Amino acid sequence: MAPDVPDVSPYAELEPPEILAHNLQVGARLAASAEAFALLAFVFAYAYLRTLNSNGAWRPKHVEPVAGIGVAMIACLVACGLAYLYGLRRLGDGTEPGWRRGAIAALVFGLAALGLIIAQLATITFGSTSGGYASVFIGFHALYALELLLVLYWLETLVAQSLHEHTQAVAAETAHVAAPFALMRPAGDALAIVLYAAIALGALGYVLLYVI
Amino acid sequence: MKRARHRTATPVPPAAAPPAGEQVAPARRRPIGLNALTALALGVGGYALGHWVGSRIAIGMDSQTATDQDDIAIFMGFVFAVAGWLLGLGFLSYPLSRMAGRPPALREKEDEGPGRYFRLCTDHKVIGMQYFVTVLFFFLIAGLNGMFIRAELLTPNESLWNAGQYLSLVGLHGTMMLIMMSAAVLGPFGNYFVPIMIGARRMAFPRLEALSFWLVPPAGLILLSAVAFGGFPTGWTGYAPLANEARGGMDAYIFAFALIGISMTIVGVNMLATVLTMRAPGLTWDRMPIFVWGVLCTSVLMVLAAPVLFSTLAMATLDRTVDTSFFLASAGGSPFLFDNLWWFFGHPEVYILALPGFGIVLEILPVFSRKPLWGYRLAVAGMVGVTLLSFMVWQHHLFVSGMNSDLRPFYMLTTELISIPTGFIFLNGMGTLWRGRIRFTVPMLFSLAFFSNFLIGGLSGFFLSDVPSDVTTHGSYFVMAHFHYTILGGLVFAFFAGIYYWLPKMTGLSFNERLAKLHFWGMFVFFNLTFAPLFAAGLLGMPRRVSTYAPRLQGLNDFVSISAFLLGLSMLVFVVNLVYSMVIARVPAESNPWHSRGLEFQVPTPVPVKNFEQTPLIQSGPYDYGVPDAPPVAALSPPARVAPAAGGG
Repeated sequence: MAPDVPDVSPYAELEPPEILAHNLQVGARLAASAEAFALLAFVFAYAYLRTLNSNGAWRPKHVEPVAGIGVAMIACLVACGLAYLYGLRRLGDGTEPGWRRGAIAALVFGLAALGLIIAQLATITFGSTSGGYASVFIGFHALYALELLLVLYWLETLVAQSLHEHTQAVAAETAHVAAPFALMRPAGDALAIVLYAAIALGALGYVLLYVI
Repeated sequence: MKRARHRTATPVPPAAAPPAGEQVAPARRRPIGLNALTALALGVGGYALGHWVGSRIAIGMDSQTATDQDDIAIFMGFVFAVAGWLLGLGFLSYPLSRMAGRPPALREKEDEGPGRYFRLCTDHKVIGMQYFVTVLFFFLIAGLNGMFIRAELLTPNESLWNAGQYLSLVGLHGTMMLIMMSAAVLGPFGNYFVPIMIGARRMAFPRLEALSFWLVPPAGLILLSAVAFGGFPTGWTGYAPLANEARGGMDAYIFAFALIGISMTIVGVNMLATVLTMRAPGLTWDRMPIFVWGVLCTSVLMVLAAPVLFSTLAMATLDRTVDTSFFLASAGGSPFLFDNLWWFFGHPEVYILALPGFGIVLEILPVFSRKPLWGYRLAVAGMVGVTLLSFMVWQHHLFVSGMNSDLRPFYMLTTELISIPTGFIFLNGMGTLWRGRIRFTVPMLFSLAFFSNFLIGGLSGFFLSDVPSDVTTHGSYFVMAHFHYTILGGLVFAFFAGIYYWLPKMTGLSFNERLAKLHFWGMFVFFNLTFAPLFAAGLLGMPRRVSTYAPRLQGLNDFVSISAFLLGLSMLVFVVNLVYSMVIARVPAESNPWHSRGLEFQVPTPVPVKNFEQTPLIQSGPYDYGVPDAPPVAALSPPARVAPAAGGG
């Protein structure tokens, strides 16, 4: 058995809130940059292979993704962004019902977009061997799904945190009051950076892979 | 330069005190002790499970059943192995608790005792030491591979290894050196010293810092496992389409490198956020230690280049597992796509290796010259210039790969331009030495050797940036000698300078100086005797990555091989010194053995868990050696109005 581990207060041992908030802001911007560069590699692949059209096999005629799923996916992403914006504008100390409604709706729309990406990959009528376009299509969607999953994970933790704080606040009538999560506002703002970067990248992918 | 936000006045709420009304929970007992052993056990178990799952998935997939390749099973094995490894360390409990709505906390003890080095710990100093030992271990293994290569080259014909085994050795040596040396400076010294140098208590994201380290050992082990899968034939660059056709060892290469890509991205984000947000009051941009500038620039490269590496390797994975055709020209792809994406990461990677080295030597020179760093702003400009230009030169690696010839002049020009900011660093070094009171300590000797070696590496680089001469020398031992002069002669010498300079501070123990000097002279002399003749071998037409060569070159190669073995022996002297000094003799080191002005040397040895009792107030630059009436670099017990130790710029 391991030795006893002293369990400290959740608020102990962290930096002062203003430093943590600044860290989150900077970290989110950097994470969004990394996220963008990872997906831009696929955008480069798209432009490069399309221009090169090796062996005339960039995009054989039968290679056509299901456009309806693509439209639904981008609609879900936009709805996710709008719902989050709605919540963010009502985010005070993290316990406001308006914030929770917006964040939960954003989470639901985001998960729906994720599900549609998986559905698209599962139902495409062309195989992975069907040329450069098919490769980029599959690769972009796979990596995008992974990135979206990570962003939605962060969103879920904020929603869960908010619900936790709400439960605490309700219980406060009979028990001690926990301080509101001081970082909810900066965490919400920081998440907005990566979420909107992800949505923008999704829109870019949609234009390249479904529209052009 | 813009001045950093000067944090003053408002007393920050005490970090360790719970909010009013909050009760401190009672002690918890962990059900089992999670450490490297449980991680290893779950990692191995995870591999077996993942391999089984992968082989079930592969059933019915034509690409997997038509050949004897089991790439999906291998990749799934690696994914599950890493998941098991992280689970075994306890990394997954925190994300799960956050999903359940528990608030953020640092639950890992920042405690004493050797056990903390073998488990998840968020103390940046522990992580620095973990990095140091790990990087050194894999560096020595990669060096041993180098010895095997030179043993084969003692004779012009195949002797010890067949061609395939030889290629695998070359690939393992190169890949392991590159991926481990990427972490060589930022890992041990960046993690350990950057927070102290900027007056912070810890890194911006301590848990991510720990994660960045704990991804490195599985990456190294997975890369080594390539031997069990038959090796890989591509060298460290993993070029397609050869990579598409290679056997299972290629999967190990791809997965290990991708893991390192993730780790590098995390390190970059963390270092940048730390330096940007957690500087102590008074630490303006023009007072920041030059080593921290080196780390900052390197981190920019890591954040922007490493994700591209990850995506490139993701494409390679898809090509190998689900038969996409990113890199197959016959099916609408292109191997040049891989080349372009790879070198978009690969060339900045060279500067990911070099920039921290620049930072170390420029940090050390003023200390042992007892003079201010000459041209501080020029040095910063040089590092920033290298950072920017490094993204604009990658196609010089493709001069002979059939690239559009109209692009050649541009990339030739940008590559030659990069020598200008690099030249700034040399000017800084030489200007600092000029009329200094030089002390030839071991860190100083390694720093001086850095300049002479890197000069040769840099000048030989001109021949490779110039299209006509590159056409002649490309793919030859000339290139090999060039990059060994820049990476081994540059970064690794700087790494050892850093070890001898900072390890006494990290461990509180002194090195045996006689053995250290023996190590230096052996390494310096035999490094040059090993690699200088290889310029000649290259010009005489000896190609890289081939185990046979023209018999007329045997004398030259035998000389090089014997020199290489002696170079290896000098590393053994270092290992002996390390073990003797740190384990057997254990002579205590002074708190500031070099009389440095660096903030890291103003704190006690061993460095306290929280680094500083209070946030220091930075009062002057770290290089004011010999400046009359220069104030101390920092007030470690500033007036009460300054915030307590928690960092912040």
